[in-house]
Amino acid sequence: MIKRHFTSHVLRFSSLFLALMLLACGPLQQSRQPSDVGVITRALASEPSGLDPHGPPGSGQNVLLPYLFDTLVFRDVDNTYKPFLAERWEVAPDGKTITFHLRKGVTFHDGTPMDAQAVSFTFERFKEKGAKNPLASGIMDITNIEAVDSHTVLFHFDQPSATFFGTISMPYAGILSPTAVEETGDAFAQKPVGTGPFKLDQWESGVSITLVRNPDYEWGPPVVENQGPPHIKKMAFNIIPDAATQLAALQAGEVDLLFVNQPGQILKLREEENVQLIEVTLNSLIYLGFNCQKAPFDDVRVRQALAYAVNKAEIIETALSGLGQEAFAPLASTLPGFDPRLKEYELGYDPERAKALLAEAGFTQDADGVWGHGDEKLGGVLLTSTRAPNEAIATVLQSQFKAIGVPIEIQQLDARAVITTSTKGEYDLLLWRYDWNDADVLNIYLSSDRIGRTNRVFYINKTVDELLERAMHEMDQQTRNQLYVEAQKIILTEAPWQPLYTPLDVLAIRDRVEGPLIGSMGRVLLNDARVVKE
Amino acid sequence: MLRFLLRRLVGAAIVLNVVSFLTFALLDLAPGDTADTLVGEYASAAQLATVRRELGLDAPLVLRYLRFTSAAILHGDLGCSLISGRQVSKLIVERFGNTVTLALAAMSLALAVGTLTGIAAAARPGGHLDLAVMSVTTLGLSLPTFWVALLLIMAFSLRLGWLPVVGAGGPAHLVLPAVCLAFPTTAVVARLMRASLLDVKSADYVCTAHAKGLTRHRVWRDHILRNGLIPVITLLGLHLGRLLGGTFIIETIFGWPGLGRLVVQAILDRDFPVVLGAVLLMAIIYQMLNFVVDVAHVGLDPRVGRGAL
Repeated sequence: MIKRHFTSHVLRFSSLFLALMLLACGPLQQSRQPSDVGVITRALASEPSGLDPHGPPGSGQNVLLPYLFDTLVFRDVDNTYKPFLAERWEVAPDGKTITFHLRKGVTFHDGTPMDAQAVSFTFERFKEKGAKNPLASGIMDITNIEAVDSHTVLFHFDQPSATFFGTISMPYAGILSPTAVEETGDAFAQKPVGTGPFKLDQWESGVSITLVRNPDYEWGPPVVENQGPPHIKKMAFNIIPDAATQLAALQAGEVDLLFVNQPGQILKLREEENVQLIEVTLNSLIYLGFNCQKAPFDDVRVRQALAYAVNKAEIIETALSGLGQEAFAPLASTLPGFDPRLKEYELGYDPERAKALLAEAGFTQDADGVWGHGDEKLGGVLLTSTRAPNEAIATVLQSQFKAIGVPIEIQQLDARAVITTSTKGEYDLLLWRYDWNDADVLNIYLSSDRIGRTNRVFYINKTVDELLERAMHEMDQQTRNQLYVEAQKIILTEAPWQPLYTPLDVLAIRDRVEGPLIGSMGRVLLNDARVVKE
Repeated sequence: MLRFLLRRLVGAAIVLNVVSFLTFALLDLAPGDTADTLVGEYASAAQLATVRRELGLDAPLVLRYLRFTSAAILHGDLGCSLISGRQVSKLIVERFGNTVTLALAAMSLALAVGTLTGIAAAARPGGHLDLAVMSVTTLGLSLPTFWVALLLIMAFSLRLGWLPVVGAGGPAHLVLPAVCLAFPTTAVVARLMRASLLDVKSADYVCTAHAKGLTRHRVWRDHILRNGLIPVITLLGLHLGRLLGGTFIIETIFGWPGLGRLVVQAILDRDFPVVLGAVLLMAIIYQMLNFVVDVAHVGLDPRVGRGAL
């Protein structure tokens, strides 16, 4: 009797257990099956010239690299660093040595194990070959790389580098297979081999680049649910240079993922039923720069006056159909070092104040209301690139300056030409944009030792230089942020830049795709993505 | 004939030299060079100077030009792209095949539709058909190609879903770009065909042909059409040259991997070996087409005479 009772208990229990198991597995397998055959397609505006992370950084390259190569550390959207190929790390108290403990059991696409030797090989090669890379100066800070044992690497520095983690989490700092590099030599750019979740499958020049999932992948970053091989089978990048065609391809279902930054297109896509829009933070800022070494903008009062004449709300309303956010600080609001209290230092819209400042600077208005010294009229050339929506913004700025009595001309060139022309200082006003992953962007654009290269507004202030230099080597995040806030107060007052707005960048996703994750700097992680309908 | 060929060859050599030098000089005038593209926006002045020296861009223009021409003429080597490091000849050949496919498709379409409508219009000048052809061709000439392209995409890809928006590979991908490119050329061919036929129709020798009792069919075939085609062939030669040089706008809109996109990207990157290679190819194509057109004239028009060769 007791025995029978016991058996029935066991039976009941095991059947309950079985039912639970079925419940747990059933829906999972169902949703897994269709996605395992999926291909996700993404539009790419220009074809990369090669996929060697240390090669010349063409456009499009940084979009593909994170799928093929993993980095030592992973940068999260909140700008914190998570373990990736390095399980953990220690920064020495003086900040001059960083020890990385590498994850074990990681292999490259060609089967080579990822170890300390591969890491030191990668960074030695970067130092040797990567002179053309935007990360070069960050990498050059490393004085020595030392493989202590098979899974421990030491990085030595002459002085602590606060930008180092930002640098090694960028796509260009992915770890490469030393055996593949030796085998392929210069052709590595066409046959990249990393440890990433996808491998290069096919490259049809001018048409598409296809990646296939890495079946051995087991080391996804901690932010994704699925650390194993991606659910989707393939990832295709279709090269579509024209923005209007990109949109049509998305609408026709030929493309699943598309980055959109033109206001008109965003508005159009909002009406599309099968498309989901996700806002993406690229740590960007659009700003108006003044040529601080050239009269009349060498006079701080003239710069301030024009800054006061800018009506940011009107720019966003008229030129961007309301899609954008007013900016007041030189640092993008998503970067550490930004402080909302900087708002009180903003030279906000105040045309009367603008006129008063011009009068104070010794200018007088003629019969038409145009400011000048006698016959010499105040004005200048506003330089910008042909990229949308620059022309619309420049036109609004032109009318705002005209309203206070400063007529300006607009000059539009291709991006390359704008960079060269402005570096030489052959302009008066510059409408430009940055996307950068670290507050060090201020150092790049505004420190006086970058004049002749990236400081294109020729701004010189010794105090600002010093603050930015100290911030570069400050390892304590809070102290570092404070240094940037101090520098920004001076920059806002002296107005080499008038920050205009934070752009709205959007990732459009067709509803057949579920689960892409947006990482920092607009990176789209597809480890969890599935194709839910064909 | 041999003298003619020789003269043509010498002429072509001179043209190629002048064209390459002009391209070289114009690229040099544009702000920025390949080194700027390579080091990017954030590099230091020292980095830039190093790369510039490595690439030999610090040498004076004439010296750089001589270096390029000596490699090109003595070794037939157009060099490597300064951006991707791949061989220019390979890059160009890869893309040129696609350009030829598209150009020939557009050309045959324009030729077939253009001549037929031109003949139909010329058969009864001032008739309903003639008026219709004339108005449609005016439209064809005045509508901008990129606009027609977007309109076609909206109609055939988005509304009807018959054809793909973008890409290359299957014949379906070829249809929309070919139709777009053929559109203005068809209009020009139709109008020229009509005008030229009307011109020939009233010529004395056609009158004679009718008078000596030839059938209407034979007069059209042997006298009117044959003579009427001559200006059309000259025109086609020029248009084919334009199409083979790559058609940047259409290639960009339809994502077609042709020569035009390669060249424009190379210009934006100031990648001069690629630009020069492509410009030289275009110059050679024009030389060859002109030659073919001249020979065709001799075949079609006895008045030109073999003496011209």
